[in-house]
Amino acid sequence: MLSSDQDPQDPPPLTGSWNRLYAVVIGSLVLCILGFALFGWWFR
Amino acid sequence: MSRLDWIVLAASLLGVVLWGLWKGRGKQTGESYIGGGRDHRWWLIGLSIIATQTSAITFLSTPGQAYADGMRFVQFYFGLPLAAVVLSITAIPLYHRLKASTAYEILENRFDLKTRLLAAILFLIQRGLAVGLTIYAPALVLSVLLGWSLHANILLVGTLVMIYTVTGGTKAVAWAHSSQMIIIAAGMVLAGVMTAHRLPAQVSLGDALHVAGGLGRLNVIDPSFDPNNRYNLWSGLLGGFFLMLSYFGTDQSQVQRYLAGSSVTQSRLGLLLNGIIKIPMQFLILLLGALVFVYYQFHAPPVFFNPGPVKQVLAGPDAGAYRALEADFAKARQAQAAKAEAYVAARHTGAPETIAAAKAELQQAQAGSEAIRGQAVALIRKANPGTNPSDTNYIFLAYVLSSLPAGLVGLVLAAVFSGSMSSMSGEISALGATTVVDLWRRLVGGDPAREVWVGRLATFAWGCFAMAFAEYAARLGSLIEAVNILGSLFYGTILGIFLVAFYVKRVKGGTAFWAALVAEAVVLLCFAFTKISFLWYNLVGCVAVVGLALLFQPLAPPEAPPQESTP
Repeated sequence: MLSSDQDPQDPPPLTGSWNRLYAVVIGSLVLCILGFALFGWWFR
Repeated sequence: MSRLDWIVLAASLLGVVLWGLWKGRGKQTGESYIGGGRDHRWWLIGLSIIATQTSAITFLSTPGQAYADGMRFVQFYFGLPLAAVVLSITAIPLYHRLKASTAYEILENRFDLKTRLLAAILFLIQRGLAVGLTIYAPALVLSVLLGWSLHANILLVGTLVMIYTVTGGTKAVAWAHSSQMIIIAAGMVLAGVMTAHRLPAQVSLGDALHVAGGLGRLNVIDPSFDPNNRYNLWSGLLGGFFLMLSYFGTDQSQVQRYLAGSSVTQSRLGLLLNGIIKIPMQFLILLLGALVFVYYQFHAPPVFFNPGPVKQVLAGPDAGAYRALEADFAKARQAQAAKAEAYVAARHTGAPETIAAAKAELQQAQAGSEAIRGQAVALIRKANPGTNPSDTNYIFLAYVLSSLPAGLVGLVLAAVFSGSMSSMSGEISALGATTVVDLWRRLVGGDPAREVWVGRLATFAWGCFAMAFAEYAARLGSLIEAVNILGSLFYGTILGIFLVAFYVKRVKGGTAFWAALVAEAVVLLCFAFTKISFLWYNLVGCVAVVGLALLFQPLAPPEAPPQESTP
C-alpha cells in the first residue's frame, strides 16, 4: 500500500511548495552553467 | 598491485555483497521483490538512480575525456534537471496513482495490451543486449592494463551482482547502490586529492588549473550552435533533455528505482536529487581528468595509453618508425615540462607580458607533442585496420596504476567494479521485473505465491544472458557498434509511445500501437536505405510515432467505453 503522503499536493521539505523546489532545481542548472562559464574564463 | 590493494578491493566488494544481502533479507512477496516494498526514502532513491546511471565505463572514460578533449562533455547532462522536473510533474504522479510496477503497465491503462507488450518487448531486446556490454567494456580495460583474465573478470562481476540481486530483489539492489556510491565517491575524491598532492611542490592547485585552462582543458561551456559538434550548450539542453526524458521516464532500469518510493513526494525528491547532484558530480570527475592532464605536464606520459593496439604496431613492419616516434615524443614532453615549469614560475612573478609569453611557449610545445602523437596514432591505425583504436578509456586507470600509492589503487579499482556492478544490478533487476510483470503476470496469469521465485528465475536468467553476451562480445569486435545501433533502432519508438501517452490526450486505443509499428518500419527503412547517423534514429522514431498517431487518430473507429485495466 502506498502511504497517505502520496498526494502530489503534499509540500516538499525546505521549500514548502513544489513550484519553488522546481525553481531551485532549474536555478541550480543556471548556476552551474554560469559558474562553469566563469570558471573556464578565469582559468583560460 | 600490492597486498594492501588486494585487501581493500576484496573487502570493498565483499562489503557491498554482504550489505545488499543483509538489507534484502526476509520474507518477500512478488510485489516487494519487484517494487522494493515501496518504502524507500528520497535519499536512497536518489543514490540508487545515480548508481544505476554510473557505469564503470563512464567512470573510466570521463576523466580520459577531460584529458583528451577538455571538460565540455559535462554539457551532455544539462538536459537532466529539466527532464527531472517534467517527469516529477507528469510521470511520477501517474505511475503512483496506477500503482504501476513497471513503466509499461501504464500503456495498457492508457491505450491497450498490445501497445504495452510492444514497448515492454522493445525494452527487453534493447536493454538485454546493452547489459552485456555494461560488464564487458570495463572488464576489457582491466584485462588489458592488469593482465587479468577477461573471462574471470566477467564471471566475478556477474556472480557478485547476482548473489544479492537474485536473492534480495529491488530492495537489495537499492541498498547495495548506496554502498557502491560511497566507494565510488571515496575513490574519486581521494584520487583527486592525491593527484593535486603529487604535482611538483612549486605548483599550487591554482597554478595547475591555469596550466589546464591555458592548454584548453577547462573549456566547459561552448555556446556555439553547431549541429556537427556533439557537446555544446544547445545540444546538451535540447538533445540532452529528450535523451534524459526518455531514459528516466521510460527505461524500466530507472523507473523501477523511483517507483520503490513510499510516496509521490519521496519519488519526486529522489529524482530531483539526481537533477541537482549529477552535473556537479560529472564536473568533479572531469576536473580529476584535467588534473591528471596537468600531472602529465610534469611527468612523462606514454604516447598511447592503450597497450593493446601498440603491440600490433611493434609486431609489424612499422615497429622502427613507432619506436623513433616514441623517442621524439619523450624528448618533446621533456621540453614541454620545462615550459610548464616556466609558465608556473612566470605566474608567480605576476608580470602580464611574461605570463603571456610563457603561456604561448607552453601552448606551442603542447601542439608539437600532439603532432608527434598524431603520427604515432596514424601508425597504430595502419597496424589495426578495420578498428578505430582509442586510448580515452585507458588514460585514468593507467595513471592510477602507475602513480597512486598502495591502498588507493585498490580503492579506485573497487570503485570501477562498483560502477560495473551498480549498473548491471539495476539493469538485470529491471529486465527481471518487466519479464514477470508485463509478460508472466499479464499473459500467463500465474500464481502470485510463485511470483518471487519466477522473479528470481527471470533475474538469474537475464544475469546469465548478460554474462554470456559479454563473453561473446569479445568475439564481436567492431560489431559492438552494431549493438548500439540496434538500441537506437528502438529507443525513439519507445519514447514516442510514452510522449503520446503522457502529453497527447486525444490519441486513444490502438492508434498508438499502429503508429508505433509504422514508425518502427520507418526507422528500419532509414537504417536499410539511408546513411544518416544512427543517433538520429532516436529522433526519427520519436517524431514518427507522435506525428503518425495524430494523423491516424481521426481515421480510427470510435472507441468502446474504457474498461478497468489488469496491471
